[in-house]
Amino acid sequence: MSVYNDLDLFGSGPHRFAQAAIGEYVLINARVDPFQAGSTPIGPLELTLAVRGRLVASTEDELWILRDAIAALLVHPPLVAELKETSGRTWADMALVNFTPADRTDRGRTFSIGYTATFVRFAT
Amino acid sequence: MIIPHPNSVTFDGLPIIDVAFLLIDQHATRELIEWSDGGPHPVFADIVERRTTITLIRTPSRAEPALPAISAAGELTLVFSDAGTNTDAARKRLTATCVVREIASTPTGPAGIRQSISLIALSSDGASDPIVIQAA
Repeated sequence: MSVYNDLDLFGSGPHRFAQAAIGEYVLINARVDPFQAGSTPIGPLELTLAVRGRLVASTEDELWILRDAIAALLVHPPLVAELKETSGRTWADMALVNFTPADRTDRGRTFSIGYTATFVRFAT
Repeated sequence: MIIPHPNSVTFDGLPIIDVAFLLIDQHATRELIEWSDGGPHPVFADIVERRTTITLIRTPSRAEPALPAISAAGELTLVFSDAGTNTDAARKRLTATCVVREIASTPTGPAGIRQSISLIALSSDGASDPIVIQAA
């Protein structure tokens, strides 16, 4: 079971973890000065994880309860907590920075909606 | 669902004669299949958009009255006998609000024609079944 801040936010439906690129953040110099070629390494990329999945409920109201539980954690400054993958791997000091629901709620045998939740470990 | 030899068929009040079969097909127009990080097999599936089509198979035996036009909307009403019986008690009425999507004719022999009229059944609110079957 995946867990964030000791909460099972995504367990109602299938979900998968993805890690964004790690390494050095390289700034294209022309973004700062259009007449300057080359690029400059400016520091390590922040660790970014995405959870992509589907919240699943038996009623529309129950689906909104699942969505609201995640939305309640989107605060400023961001909440920092441990994120645990389904496989058991844990990621400390992860901030939930956004939750992007899909463009529609799907109403078939179940009520469900796809989503992407993004977590960042801030460098500072 | 297959209904052979219905007793009567009307579309938007217009009788449609010589109907040999009525076929009801359901098609998944949007299906969700989801996998997890646990392994290669899907762990979730749901059909979240579907389409119900009704096809009338006719064997016209004489000059035709006017047929509904493509895209015409109306209520299809069909009375049929359940389970092969022909008693009043077993008679049922099928109703569905439909839009005509295709009318196609195919020669079946030296003097035979088979015509199919395909309709899309509409739900009144998106959630209720577009096909209603009641005792006639």
